[in-house]
Amino acid sequence: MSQIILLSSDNVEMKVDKEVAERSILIKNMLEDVGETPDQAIPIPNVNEGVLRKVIEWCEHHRNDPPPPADEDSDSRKKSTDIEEWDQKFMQVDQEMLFEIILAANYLDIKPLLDVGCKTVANMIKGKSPEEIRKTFNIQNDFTPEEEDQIRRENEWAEE
Amino acid sequence: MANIKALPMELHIQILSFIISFYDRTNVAQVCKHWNKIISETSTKSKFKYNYGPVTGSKYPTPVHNLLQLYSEDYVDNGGKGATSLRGIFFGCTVENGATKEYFIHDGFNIEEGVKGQAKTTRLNISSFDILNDLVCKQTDDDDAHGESIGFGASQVYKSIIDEYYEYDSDERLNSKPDSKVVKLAFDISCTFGNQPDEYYTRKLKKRVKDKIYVYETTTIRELVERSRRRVKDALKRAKLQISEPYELRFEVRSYNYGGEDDCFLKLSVNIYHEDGDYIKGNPFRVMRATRNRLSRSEFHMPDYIL
Repeated sequence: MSQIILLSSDNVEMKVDKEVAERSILIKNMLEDVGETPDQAIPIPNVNEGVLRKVIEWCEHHRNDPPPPADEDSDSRKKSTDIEEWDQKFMQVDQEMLFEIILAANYLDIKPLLDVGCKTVANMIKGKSPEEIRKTFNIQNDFTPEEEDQIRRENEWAEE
Repeated sequence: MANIKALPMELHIQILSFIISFYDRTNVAQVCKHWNKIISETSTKSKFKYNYGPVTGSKYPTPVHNLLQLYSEDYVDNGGKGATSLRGIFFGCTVENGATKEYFIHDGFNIEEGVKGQAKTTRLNISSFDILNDLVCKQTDDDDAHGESIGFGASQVYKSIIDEYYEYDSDERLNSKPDSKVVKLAFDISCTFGNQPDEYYTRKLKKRVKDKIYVYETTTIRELVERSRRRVKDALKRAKLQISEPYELRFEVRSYNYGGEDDCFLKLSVNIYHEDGDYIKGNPFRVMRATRNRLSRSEFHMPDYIL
């Protein structure tokens, strides 16, 4: 099986099966454009070694998965935040790594991994109050007291 | 260092697109301006008819559901403010001498003039209301339809009935005496609709409102109105409150949707409008709450209101 070399942003080379690397649509298109397996390392300038290793780990595990549905807004994709067990464990990382993986998946165009990342964050949001969400993600409350009051009033009819 | 703030806008949108439950979206909308905007802008783009699909195993109120279907094309967006989209209808009766004088039905929002929330009401006499009632509440034989549509023919008959009666602007009428004291009693019945089972929301709502939530089942709209009228009469008597007649008993059915094509939250309120009372402006729920608070402070006994 042919292999390619990926070069992380911190100049670390990683040998990967071409089939695994092609889980990334970005890399797949790149390889198609080149027309043959390149001898030189493919630079992945936005992804550092640690994150790239995680992404490759995910791609290796999912190398035989069927391609995602073409319809990006398919109902099944949108509605469920269920994450399969292996992916759940895979995503048990600190927040910094979680968001790095999401950014990398977005950059490398790996939609299923991006979905898993986004669902993981969505699951961290679910069931929490606004204040708890802010605390979880270190988000600053930028509403003025008046705006906050207004929003609260608009929503309180359902919360009483 | 990557954190959630480092994500581009489209990824925030993508993450929040997985937040589909009504309450979670409500909470998300209150986190920060950025998320409030996303939730607002991704609020429902779909027509109501898509939101009122059958819920397997749930007891959704078919008559009201059908009534909403009649207005399914008249989607009204409140401009995204407050992360909500709403659309509503109302119907009810005018009470005089302790009995129903006439029924009325809200005839859609006046959106052509850009005035949202302003209502045109069509007055129906009792026999016409019965016809409407039969149309709206007629159960379909088709199991697949789940009562979601009363059919084109029925709709045409309904519209022809409506056309026979004059309309008037209730805002204009009710605002003619702006200083008058409003007497409103509010009861809320909340139901959830959508493509997901509503048990979750019902359970959560029950927790929030300490079990004072009633998911109602009723057979006909007229029965709904009549049973309410009798209960309101009893409630007024118990509370030793008097309202000069005639007054209106008005059911307001509003739908809130926090973006979910899945979550559609319907709130049915019953308000009594004294003939001198003003009309609810702005957020009806805010007014309703305020009204209820005022009533509870005056130790008004809220009856168990199970329809």
